Amino acid sequence: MDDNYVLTRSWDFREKITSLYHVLNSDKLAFISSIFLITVGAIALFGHHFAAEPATKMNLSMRNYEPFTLDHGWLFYLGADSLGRSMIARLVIACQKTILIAGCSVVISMTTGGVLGLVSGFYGGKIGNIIMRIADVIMSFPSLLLAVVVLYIFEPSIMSLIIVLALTRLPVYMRTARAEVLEIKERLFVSAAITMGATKRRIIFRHIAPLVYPTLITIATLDFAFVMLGESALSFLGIGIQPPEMTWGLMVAQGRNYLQSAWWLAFFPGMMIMLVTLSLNLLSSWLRILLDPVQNWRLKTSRKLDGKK
Amino acid sequence: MFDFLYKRIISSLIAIIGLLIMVFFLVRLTGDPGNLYLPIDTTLEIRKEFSERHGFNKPTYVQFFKYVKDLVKGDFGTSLRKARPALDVVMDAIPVTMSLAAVSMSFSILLALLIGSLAAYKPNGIFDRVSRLLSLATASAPDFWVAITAILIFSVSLRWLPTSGVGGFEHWIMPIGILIIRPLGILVQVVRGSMLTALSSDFVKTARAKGVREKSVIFVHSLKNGMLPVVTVAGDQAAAIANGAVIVETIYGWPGVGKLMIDSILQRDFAVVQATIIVTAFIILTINIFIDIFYAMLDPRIRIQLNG
Repeated sequence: MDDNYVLTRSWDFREKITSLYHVLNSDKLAFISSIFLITVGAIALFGHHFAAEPATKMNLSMRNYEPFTLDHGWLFYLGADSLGRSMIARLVIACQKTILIAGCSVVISMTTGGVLGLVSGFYGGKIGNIIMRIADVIMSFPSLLLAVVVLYIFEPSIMSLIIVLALTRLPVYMRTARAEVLEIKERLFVSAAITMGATKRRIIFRHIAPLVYPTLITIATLDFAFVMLGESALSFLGIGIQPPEMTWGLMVAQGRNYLQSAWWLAFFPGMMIMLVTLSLNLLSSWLRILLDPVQNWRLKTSRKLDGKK
Repeated sequence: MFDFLYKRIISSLIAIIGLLIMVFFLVRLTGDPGNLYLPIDTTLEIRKEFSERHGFNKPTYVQFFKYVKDLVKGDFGTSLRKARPALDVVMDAIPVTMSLAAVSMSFSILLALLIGSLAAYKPNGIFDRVSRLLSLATASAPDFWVAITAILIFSVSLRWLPTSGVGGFEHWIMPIGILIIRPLGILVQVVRGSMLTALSSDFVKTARAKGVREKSVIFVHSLKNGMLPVVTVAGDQAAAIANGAVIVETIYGWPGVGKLMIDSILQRDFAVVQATIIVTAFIILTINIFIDIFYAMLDPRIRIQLNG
């Protein structure tokens, strides 16, 4: 019995993967962007093993070396910075910090915001209402100005940057989770669970949370892009990441001083930010259609048509 | 409706007070302004005199109550950097940012109404697809990078536009261009969505059956209804524009609220930081309340409720 169960599970899983592949393949842009994001993720994870050394090795004879020539090897294909360090290696190293910061703050704000929204939506009451009102109003205040104040007070470190970014995005998850819970908790299966004597905690986390989860994930993909833009804007203003560390936003800020003599210093890191956020946006709009039962026939029918050809 | 407005105003006031408390105490954690404003070899007496004159020697909560007391009288304190009333300094910066925001908001709403309705007219047509892709691209572009790239192309290479500064028409092109990017992409999608619903509704079919010209079906019959959600989203974009203004003003050197805020924090000019936050929050919350009223006036369903 148990073996059989495992067998069907794994078969299910493989079926899921192949069907996911087909659905993804039907939307070429989403397909390309997911491949691009996987590559960037791999670079963020393993890139520092081979890029750490060339990223810090200065070579003054190569100062502001022009891009698009292979004379000095592929490492200098995108040129070199004002101290003659390879742009490619520096982009790889900066990638790690950029992804790390955005990833951590999205995870933090999604989990805390999700739990807060679940709980306040389920229990309701005055306190939940007041928290939501304040969240609404905080959301209508420019997040960049708030982040500037907070970051200036706490020493700008990776940790405080993550927390500030997570805080500014918290209301989004709280609102969404709460709205979903308010609707779900009226459904029959929740009443059934209550009648059967399930504890409140069990109802929230076993019965309601799995239904809220997909929506939160969709928002999180979009938010990852948003947080990345926020981080780079803060680093660009000089209150985000500080110099020995590197993110793409900071590289743009540093390259700004060499705009007239070496445009590539500011251009390539900004382009990386744009490509990653664009892929995330494409992927999340595709996810939104996929998870929406009213619309997801679009993806599935085109797949069938492809099969017939 | 009035009950709703009343609640809105109360919660906005609470938010402003909360912001004020948070900022007042946080800003004072950043260190002694005396270290920044007096030379390193200043004697202890002069230092003491400096902090007594500005009230920094008292406990923070005493400073806070004095500040609130002055605030009620309309006194926002004095700017350390400029030795002028803080409110005046902020009020000098407000018109700059407000004009930037107003011009870019009007442009993006007009453009969004045009592009959005054209995109909705033939869903999944070539125009729709291009506009959707462009909307995604504008949501993804880091505005500071676009600003820098624009300077690189239009000022450094082509020498068409000035790199920064305030002045005539040509000084406005790049800042406005950067500021409308983000709201435009979002608004186009909102207009497209609401126009799709409006175009497939019965009254449009009736209008067509009566032989009304297509142009007037799109831009008169449907657009009137399609505009409603735009108003709400445009309100949400007010905060986004303020965010953009911080970046645009820093890069293009406009003496607006965003630049003032960054400069005052870096120079520990407490009074100005607090005044900027209060005034900005006040303006944004007021705009949002007005948008709610405007929305109610636009939508006949709500308007009837209001009268009845």
